[in-house]
Amino acid sequence: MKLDSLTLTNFRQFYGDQTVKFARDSTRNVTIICGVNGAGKTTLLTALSWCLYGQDINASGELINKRALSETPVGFSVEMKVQAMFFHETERYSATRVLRADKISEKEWSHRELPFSVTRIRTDGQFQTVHNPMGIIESILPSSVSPYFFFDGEKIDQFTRPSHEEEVKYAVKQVLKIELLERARAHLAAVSKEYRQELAKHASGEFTTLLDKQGRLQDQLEKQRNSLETYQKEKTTAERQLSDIDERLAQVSAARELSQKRAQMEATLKAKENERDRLWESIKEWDNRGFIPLARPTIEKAVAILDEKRERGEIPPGIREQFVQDLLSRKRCICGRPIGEGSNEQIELTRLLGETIPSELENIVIQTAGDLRSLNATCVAIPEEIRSAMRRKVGVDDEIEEIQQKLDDISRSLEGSELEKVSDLERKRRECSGEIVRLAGDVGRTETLMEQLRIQLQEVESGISKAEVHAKQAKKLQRRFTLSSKAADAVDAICDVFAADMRQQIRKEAKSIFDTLIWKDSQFQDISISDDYHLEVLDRWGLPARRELSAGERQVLSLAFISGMSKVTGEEAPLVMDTPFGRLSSQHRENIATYIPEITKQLVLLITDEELHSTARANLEPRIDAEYELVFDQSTGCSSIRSVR
Amino acid sequence: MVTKATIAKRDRIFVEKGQIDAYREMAGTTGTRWKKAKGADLPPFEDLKDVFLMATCLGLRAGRPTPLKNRQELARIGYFKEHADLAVLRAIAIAETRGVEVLADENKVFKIAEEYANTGFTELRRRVLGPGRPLVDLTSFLLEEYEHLFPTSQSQENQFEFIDNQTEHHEP
Repeated sequence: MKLDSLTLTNFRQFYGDQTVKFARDSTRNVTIICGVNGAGKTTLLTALSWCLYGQDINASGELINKRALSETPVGFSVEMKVQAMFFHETERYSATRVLRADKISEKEWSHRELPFSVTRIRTDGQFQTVHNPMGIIESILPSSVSPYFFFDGEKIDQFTRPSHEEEVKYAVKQVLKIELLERARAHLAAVSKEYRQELAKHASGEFTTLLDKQGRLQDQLEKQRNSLETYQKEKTTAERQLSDIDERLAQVSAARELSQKRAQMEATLKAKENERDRLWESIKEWDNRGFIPLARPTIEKAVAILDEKRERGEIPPGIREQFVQDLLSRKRCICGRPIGEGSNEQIELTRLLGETIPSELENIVIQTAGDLRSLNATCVAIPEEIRSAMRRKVGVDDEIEEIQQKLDDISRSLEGSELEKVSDLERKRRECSGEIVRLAGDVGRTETLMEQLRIQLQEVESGISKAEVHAKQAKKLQRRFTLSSKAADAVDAICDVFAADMRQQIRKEAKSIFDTLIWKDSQFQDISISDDYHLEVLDRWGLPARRELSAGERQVLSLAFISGMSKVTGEEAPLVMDTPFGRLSSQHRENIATYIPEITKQLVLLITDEELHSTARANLEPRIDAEYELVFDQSTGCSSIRSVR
Repeated sequence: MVTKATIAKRDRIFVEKGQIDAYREMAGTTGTRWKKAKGADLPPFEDLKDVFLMATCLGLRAGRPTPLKNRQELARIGYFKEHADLAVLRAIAIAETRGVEVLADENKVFKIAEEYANTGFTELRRRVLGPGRPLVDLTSFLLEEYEHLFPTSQSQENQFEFIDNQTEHHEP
């Protein structure tokens, strides 16, 4: 297959008709389609797959362009179409898939897919409708193989992940048309069966018995072969399910851990907030005493006045008022001297009385003096108490902010994770494991049985060829029967050998490509593809090194494998790569850019601007024959394809 | 000469008419604003007398008393604490009259305080009942005043960021 053009009509974010014409020259075989993320690169790839294979692709959401949908009046319909034109073995084809949507109301649509059509365009210009469009496409490029030619750079490293062996095996079988061999075998077996039945008409006695036995054995073998295939497929499915479940379990337990952590943090947060509240209460208490330091100058002034008065003897009075009054009324001093009316002593005492303050006031004054002195210390203490409480509060503020940020991070991590019940997952897992074990047993059992049957079959067949046959006709049939049986057996054996041989060839090709693409002095020395199609990279000690592969290196490995396959088959299929260079280092990119056009007959690269610049671009430049840009219009939300070269 | 007379007592304090609402708000005795308030959202003052004392001392900082034109009762004097609150008020009276005799007449002592409170009230209300949270503003205000009164050698360190953090908002 060599792509000629791809036309999208109202497909996803592409409004109206948008066309890409691919570079097809033998040397200038590279088409570049450039676009920022979201502009529609992956959509183009999806469109190609959808056109050729239809529902099989992972298409989520509305396929029809939203703008086209909204522009359609109620009661009318809009058409979405992808048309792929391509060449295959000198024939030119056009494949068209159409989806029509009828607008029932503003929000209601009914979708109708029109029959898939493939047209053969003959060299004389005549159009010929192909009768089995899906069949023709399958034979040109089988759907199971297409992901290895039209691939999403982001998904590519899944290919080299464990439990993808069956996929690798299936891919190899399809690409190498091993199926042809298998059909040959089945056909030969059918022929042999026919001869046997003919022979049975001329046979008698022991001969008949042998023929019957052979027939039965053949039938059993066929049945077992089918069972084996079924068991193997089911086992692979179960293994994949198990790996899915394990992934979900990991997510859930990670999510649960985060949940627990979050709960703990929320409790801590609450405690810190309470602490902060209490600190504020404490600050408030101090604030309410805060008027005292404000009055400090006045307090000092008052204390000075009181001190002065005390120094002058005014307070506390050297003589208590009561005492003086007693003396005056007793008219006698404590020493015994009389205090006469109008005497100096009496005048003096009366004067003193006038200078004393009332006892009640006296108490207040003494008390006030004492209070003020102790308040002095408070004046200094209060501001310091407030400051230190504030400092502690600021500390708690910081702690709270830190916790809240961590909580935000956790929330964001948990967002979008479906927290399934762990118990359900565990149960499913157990079931799945059990099934895998059971199926493995079935596979083993079936293989053993088939081996036994083959041995029995050979015995019987040799018995048949030796059997005494008298009639000339019977002899001829016998010869043909023997020939076809042996041929069927031989092809059966060939299938396995051929597969192994192909594996070797693919491995060799893949290795040489891998060497070219990967860093020169890397630690990776070899690639191996095991009997069960396990793709491995070996280090220089021959040990599997897959774990040490970076995402980029895994991509290169996948690329090498696919390219190896396509080279071995001589299959003419284009490589359409979506953001292939995303995770590669610049050295890898340069290497790949240089060599990849030689690996394939036609190369289409869907890239972002940054993926391919300077040296890598320069290396590729001589091979580029077509270049496009995907332009995304913010105002309409639609993309268009613009030719740059 | 002061004779042995009893100390003249006063049993309530007065403020200028129209100030009562602000006093009540600062003491947290009015409105739904303070319902279930916690932490930094608490009303700034415990009691009306605390507001009064703060206003009085602010008036002291301004340096002049303002006589009341129309007085309105604020609270009973019994709520005042003897050793701290009353001592300060007495100190003010002593300093104002430069003597102790004034202490014999509570009317005079409180009148002086009321007039200083009248002066300080406007500033207090402006600083505390502003756009931010009153308790936070009060604290920052006090620390500022302390800086002016007793500048410390580490004044830089004592500058707290009084940005009204959204994070301190509590659920009602």
